[in-house]
Amino acid sequence: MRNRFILLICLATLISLAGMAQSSYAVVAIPEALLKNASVIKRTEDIRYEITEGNKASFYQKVAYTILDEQGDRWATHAEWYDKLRSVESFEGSLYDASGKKIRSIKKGEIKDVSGNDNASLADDNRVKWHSFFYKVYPFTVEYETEIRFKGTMFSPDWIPQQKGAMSVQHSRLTVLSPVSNPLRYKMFNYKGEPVVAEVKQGKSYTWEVKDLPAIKEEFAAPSWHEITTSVFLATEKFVLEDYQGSNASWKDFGKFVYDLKKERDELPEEVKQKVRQLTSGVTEDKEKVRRLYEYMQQNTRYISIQLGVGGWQPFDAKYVASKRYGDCKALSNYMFALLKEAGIRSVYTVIGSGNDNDYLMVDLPSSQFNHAILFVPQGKDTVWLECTSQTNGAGYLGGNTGNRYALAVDENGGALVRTPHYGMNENLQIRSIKATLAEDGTLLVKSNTHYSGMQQDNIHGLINNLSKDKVKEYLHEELDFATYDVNQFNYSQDKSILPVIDETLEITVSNYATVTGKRLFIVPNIMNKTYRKLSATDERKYDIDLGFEYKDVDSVEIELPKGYEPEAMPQPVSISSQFGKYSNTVKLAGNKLIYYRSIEQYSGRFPAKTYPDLVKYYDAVYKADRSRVVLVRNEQPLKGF
Amino acid sequence: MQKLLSAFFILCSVSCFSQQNPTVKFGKISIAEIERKNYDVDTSAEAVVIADIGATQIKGNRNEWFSLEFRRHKRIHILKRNAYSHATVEISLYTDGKMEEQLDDVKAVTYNYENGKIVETKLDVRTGVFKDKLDKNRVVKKFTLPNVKEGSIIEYEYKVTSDFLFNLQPWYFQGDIPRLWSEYSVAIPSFLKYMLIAQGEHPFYLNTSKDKRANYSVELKKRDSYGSTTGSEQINITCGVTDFRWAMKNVPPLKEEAYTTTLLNYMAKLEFQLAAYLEPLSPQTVMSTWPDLAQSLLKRDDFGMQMENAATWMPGVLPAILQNATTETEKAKKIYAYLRDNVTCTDYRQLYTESTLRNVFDKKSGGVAEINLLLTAMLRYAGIRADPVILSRRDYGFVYDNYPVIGQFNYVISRAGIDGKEILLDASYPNLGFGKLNYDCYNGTAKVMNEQATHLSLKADQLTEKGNITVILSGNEKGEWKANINKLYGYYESVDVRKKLKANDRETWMKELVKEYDTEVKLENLRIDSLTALEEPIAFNYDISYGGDQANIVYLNPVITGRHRINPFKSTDRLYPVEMPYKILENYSIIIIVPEGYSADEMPKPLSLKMNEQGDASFSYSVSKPSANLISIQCRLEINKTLFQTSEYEALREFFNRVVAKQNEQIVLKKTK
Repeated sequence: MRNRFILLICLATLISLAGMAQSSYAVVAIPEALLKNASVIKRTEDIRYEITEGNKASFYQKVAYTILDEQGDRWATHAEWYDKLRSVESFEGSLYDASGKKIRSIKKGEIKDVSGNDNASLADDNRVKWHSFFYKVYPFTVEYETEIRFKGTMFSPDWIPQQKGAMSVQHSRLTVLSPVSNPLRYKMFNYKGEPVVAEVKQGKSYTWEVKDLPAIKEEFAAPSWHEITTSVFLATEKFVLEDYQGSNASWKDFGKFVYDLKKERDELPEEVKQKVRQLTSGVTEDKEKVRRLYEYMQQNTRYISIQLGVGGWQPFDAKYVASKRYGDCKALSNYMFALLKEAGIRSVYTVIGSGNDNDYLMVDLPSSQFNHAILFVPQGKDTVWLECTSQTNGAGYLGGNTGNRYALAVDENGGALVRTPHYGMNENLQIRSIKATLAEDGTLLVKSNTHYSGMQQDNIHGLINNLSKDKVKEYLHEELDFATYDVNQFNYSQDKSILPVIDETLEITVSNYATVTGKRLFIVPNIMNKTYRKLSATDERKYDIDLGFEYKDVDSVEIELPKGYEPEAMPQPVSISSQFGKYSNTVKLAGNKLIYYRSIEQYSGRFPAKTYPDLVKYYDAVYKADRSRVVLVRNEQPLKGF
Repeated sequence: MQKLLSAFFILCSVSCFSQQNPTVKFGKISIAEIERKNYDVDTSAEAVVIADIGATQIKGNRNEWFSLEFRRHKRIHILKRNAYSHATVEISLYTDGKMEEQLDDVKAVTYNYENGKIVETKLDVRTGVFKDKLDKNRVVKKFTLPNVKEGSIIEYEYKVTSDFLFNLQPWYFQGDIPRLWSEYSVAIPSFLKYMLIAQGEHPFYLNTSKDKRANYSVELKKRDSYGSTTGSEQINITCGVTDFRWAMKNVPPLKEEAYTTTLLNYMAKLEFQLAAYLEPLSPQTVMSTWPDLAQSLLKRDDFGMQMENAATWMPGVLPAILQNATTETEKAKKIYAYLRDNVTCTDYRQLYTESTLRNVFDKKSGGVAEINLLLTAMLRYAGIRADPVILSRRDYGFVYDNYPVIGQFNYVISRAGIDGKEILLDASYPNLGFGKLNYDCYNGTAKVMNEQATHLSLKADQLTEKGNITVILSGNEKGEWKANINKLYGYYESVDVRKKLKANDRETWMKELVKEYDTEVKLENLRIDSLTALEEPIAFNYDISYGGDQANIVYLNPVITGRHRINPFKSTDRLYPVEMPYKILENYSIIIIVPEGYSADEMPKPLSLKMNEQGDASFSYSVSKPSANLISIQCRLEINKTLFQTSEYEALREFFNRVVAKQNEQIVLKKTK
């Protein structure tokens, strides 16, 4: 009876909103300031997230977008995914012309229902309902109205009214109704003031509202989106996920929940136990045991994504992995945990946000902010991190996907935040020396030795550990930065350790590397390491600059020249020192040889917006210096032609 | 069937070898086999199919009709990690919403060599097979083999039963990994006639057929006079059956290369098309000639009839679109522009309509078949003769003219007789001009869906992409340079540029233009011609300026923009012919006004280059000095055909190597005082 009453109220508000909406979607009603840089304007949005007793929730959303041009087309589409824990209760929409007059509403049969499996997974139970108007008489307005029901509140929705991609917002409102028995926690970014809180029949209501947010122009190396636009993240104090109860009261509590999902799933079959004993017998050092067991795990399992089982959060048990020899990140980490446990080594199951853009954790809002699981072995100061979905990494190396961020380590005592290793300038190296010979027709024979380490070896690591030698050759024949060339020989050796290293030797013949015009030879002594970044100086900069990847490159080049040439133009040495990095190069002629040296140190960090012109200048200077050219003239001068 | 197959024999000119084949029995793996590290057929292979054996039989079913029963047995040697994806198997099943093809008898085993023994791990079929419904006609079942490592051999078999007789499984002898043995057999009873399409360069190792007799029993339902089922009876048909068997040995893998339209054109494969039902079934031709195919398409509710059905509403909407157009050309242009500018294409691979044309007209969105059938219908109701045309886009493979098989097509355009001219139209692309087609429609055979099923030949060789750049560059004694650039794009590049200009503002576009230059330039006075004249190529005119220092020697590349910087043919080897989308003609000319006080110390030499004697690709670089302070340079690049055989690849690569080198050459100016 109660529920029905609520529904009636919803319907009543809805009807009154719809009545108002008709005329208010006229494009002329959009404030001028919101049209600037925009392809789409969110005209109005009303979200009502209601958490009920018994840990269920409903999510009602009504949103209208005015699409100004082709770039805004993707907002004329609406999609909702669903699975066992999330259902789409209603899905409606209408299309309006520029004057705000309704053209039509969607019919039931027009809503597509497709598999939500992204093909990366063998199995998951996601499906997607979606619709698009595919309209192109601009400008026009679409309005979508949906209602979603959740079983459990582990995954609370975010409110980020403004999305990337030339969107301005005229109005958006979020209302959360939360019962007294399950308080709401939240974290806000770029929201002026506090939400309006009121006591209501259901408990408490919170309302956030924004008006007139102008479109944000995308900028190079901008900070994370939530740092530059209004964002509110929610978590309920308590939640359930299928049969498991959890709490977001603290990281300790949330960690306890994650641990409960995985505990007692680490029993190994007898033959694997034996294997563990066999692999570790006679080994005294724990680190060596870890290495051996990690390699065993890598050689005997593979990564397969199966997003089933307690909302995709419970690992398949160790026995499952032992018999199938595959698993997802959770199952493989849990399996590795079991192997180590069998060898008497304690390890800690850790959940983390994976991906380059996923390195920020709201430490003061304990909640489900993770999409990946790894493992670490505490060894005093030398913690060994294990990425269990990799079949090729050395024990202890995480790389850019999970490095340098907070993660939640969980054990029987609950959760605790930990930080993963940072790979900095001194770890991410590329040290190259080249001996080259230039023929008179411009052909260059290049012999290079390159030492890569840390994140600078990730790409090549992937190639040489996954592909056959002939495939690597095919890759090299396509990917090097020369106009026309042949790879005569190549070789790689690697040292897989906590800081992995790859040494590469290449022998390449580059046709027409030097340009020959009459008696002159034009040659760029920087053979294999040119930067490509060029920024536009005219751009106004609004946000801070966030540079992430640190590295250091050193190139030493020796080019043997054909006989009888002398320099006509030699580039001056370049030395640039800025807050973003340090660059230098020199070129000189020593007898018959050109000697070139280049070094770059790229720093990371946060730089104020006003330093942007300096960054443009820095990149430009490096771009230019990388392409500086030596001109040589044949000494006897039979002047021909003009 | 016999007759059709003999045609096929001639097509492939295949001879029969003695009947020998490797015995590949499920579960019988030798140590020698599993210990192999690589295979001669392709040493770069990350996995090798040891055997892929399929068989289709036709069986009477309990549903008053016949079913296809397809069995497959496949064994793969996994050599490198990158091939683990081959251990995940997806089986696509057809459904019409009521019935669905059925997967049974799945068996899958992984073999590993451990401590001198071969260890088996079986797939748990009960829990390990997952189902996913992709769309209304496709269900996919998936499983992944357990315990796969580098060096594993995996093996699986399954059966698919289908009540859709038109869906006789095709066979692909070739794929992305090599096959040591690939074999398919099909037993066709004399009451069914299938047509066969065979393709590929790789020779058959076996190609045999054997006649025999067999019995088919079909369960018929007994019905009383009211039509209710009262029981069933079995009827038996004894008739001739032909057992066909094809096999290939050591088939190399297909590899992606730049400038191939689709690997489908090179893949060794067999496909089947249901052609007719024969005695003792009631004889019925399913497919015979192109005109018949055209007639049947025109009578289909989801093709030709859609246009007929538009009669009721079309007269009501046309006047507003035609306004006061009088000539056929005016009318056709109005209709075309209306559809192109108002209707969004949601599916560029569509042959049949999914909703009514009225619905497409109202919703302003539809697939390409819907849009161009609507176009055809509107032209007709405006009094213009128009017919739909079916074709296959380049990425869908060639059409075999000998086989009137509808499955070869995936695209619909329209042909109209307008003021005495036959014009091809496609209203599905927002930036395409009247009478223009996207280049990937130029894929050989197209068929007009009229009474004669008129044949059209659309070839890439009929298209030439013409680009033209003219530059006037002048310098002064202060080291300042100014240039006026006039750039006329090729037609298809123009389509692309218009699209980008819609997506970005002019300012962003100018920033991109600036990046084309070696030095930092200032760009001004940008003028764009023919931005909205979609039938015409687009042209840019702008000024650039840049400052240099007053050096004693100035080095200047006269090809300041539109230079070929990299060789488009990087790889040293080539497996398949190079297929260009169109012929190319590029002209570049520059006049340089030498700054006062400087003179040319060195100039690039003229060059005339031909890829081969016929000049299938040619390049010329000419230099002249019309007066003391003027230098004039002209480059002309021509690609005069679109299909280059692999034997011509080396010459083509070398040609571009020399073009890149020549366009890099410099003019050297020296201060005279």
